[in-house]
Amino acid sequence: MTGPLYPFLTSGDATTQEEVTRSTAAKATESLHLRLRLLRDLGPSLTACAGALSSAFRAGGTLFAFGNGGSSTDAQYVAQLFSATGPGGLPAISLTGDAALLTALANDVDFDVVFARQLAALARPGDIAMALSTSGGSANVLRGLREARRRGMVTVGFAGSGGGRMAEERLADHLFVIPSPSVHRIQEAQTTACHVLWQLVQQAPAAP
Amino acid sequence: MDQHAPTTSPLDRAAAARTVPGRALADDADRVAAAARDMAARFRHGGRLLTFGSAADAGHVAVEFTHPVIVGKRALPALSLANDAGPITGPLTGGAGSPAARLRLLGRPGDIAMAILTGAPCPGALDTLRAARELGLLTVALTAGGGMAAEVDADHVLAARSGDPLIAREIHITTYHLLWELAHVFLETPGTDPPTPPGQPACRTDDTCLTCADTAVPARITELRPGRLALAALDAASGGEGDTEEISVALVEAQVGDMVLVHAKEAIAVLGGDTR
Repeated sequence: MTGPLYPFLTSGDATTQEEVTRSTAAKATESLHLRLRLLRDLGPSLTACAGALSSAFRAGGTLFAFGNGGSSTDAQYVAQLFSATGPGGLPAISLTGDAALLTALANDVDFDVVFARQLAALARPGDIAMALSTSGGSANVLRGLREARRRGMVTVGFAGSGGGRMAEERLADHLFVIPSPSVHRIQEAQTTACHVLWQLVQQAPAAP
Repeated sequence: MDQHAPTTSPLDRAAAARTVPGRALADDADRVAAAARDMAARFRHGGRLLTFGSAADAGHVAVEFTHPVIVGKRALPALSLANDAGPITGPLTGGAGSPAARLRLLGRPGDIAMAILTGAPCPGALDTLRAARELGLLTVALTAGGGMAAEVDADHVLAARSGDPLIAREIHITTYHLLWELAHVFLETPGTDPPTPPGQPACRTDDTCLTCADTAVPARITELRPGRLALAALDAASGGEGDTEEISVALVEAQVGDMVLVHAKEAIAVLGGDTR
């Protein structure tokens, strides 16, 4: 079913290279506009979040990133970016990389607990939980955020469209909702948000 | 925020740095579409997508193709060569677990190799691309700008117009989302298949390859061939009308006369012997 994405394909006309190119260029442009809008509208919140993360890192905190599917790879990248890039690496871990843990928890208990259980074992008050979701409704991500809050962590949440239950239940101290219905455009904008957040943390002034 | 110099705030700089590369991707739409068209042709003929380079993005591409976010899109075979750290870091492998070595083991001539290179390409990634070209895979490289793609030799080089690895990565993510979407558009649109590349086995002379489709189809083994291959007659009910195709029977114990279930030229189950 390509109808909603490429209306010209359902018209019965032969697809032309020009039509595909035009549609592709429009999507690339939409992606850019969403990224610029995010930086404009959510910029102050990103700056405030960077300040909170910077304080948490200075107090010895560790960042734990998590998400499902494509968002799990973003969590992996965020952990890598914070810990291995820049003048001083910051302690950051992805909760999505350990297949032994993930399969054990999913098999023995339930997939809903895969992040919450790891946070219960590893996290301390003052650590950072960074949840990545396009829907804001993944049960395991929401449980991870609830566990993080119970443990006194700084909670950061990324979601898309309306923000889902992550927004409704106010599960994140710092919530970033990308205003788009497209999973792809949401992920693309979230990546920019994560990258800029890292840059802002690097530049955050030392606490008095 | 400093009111006297608003244009130099980090957020303004972040936005400014993304504008030109973002527009450049839109300008490159025809090149992205050309890569997707060639990828679709490989998928149509049973090829798979092997990804490497940035491990996180290689994994993202693999899940994007095998488990589509849009319900109803067929799963396309893809796997990340950068995903399993075990063989790469194992002390006994002597480099045998490197992406290049894994590609030589796993890659087939009809496959697609995709390198995602957000910074200066490391020797390992260039080796892997070279191995892919030697084997006859279609090669697609997503590279950073600023001259970092100079050494990269691939059928399709899609360069982000930024030397900043973070911005290049953002462009790459949009690029591979577009490649996924366009691959489906070309797969679902008849008449967009380019001519079969030299050295690539054509499945059938017409536009459709029944056993390359998402669903498995029944076929009857008519002849066993060396290398765990077999000639199979497609079941008339599946639209094959008795046409024969060479398939692999490496995964099953099949004899001449057996009905087997075939998916992407691989017999995946024996349905039973000849009962006629």
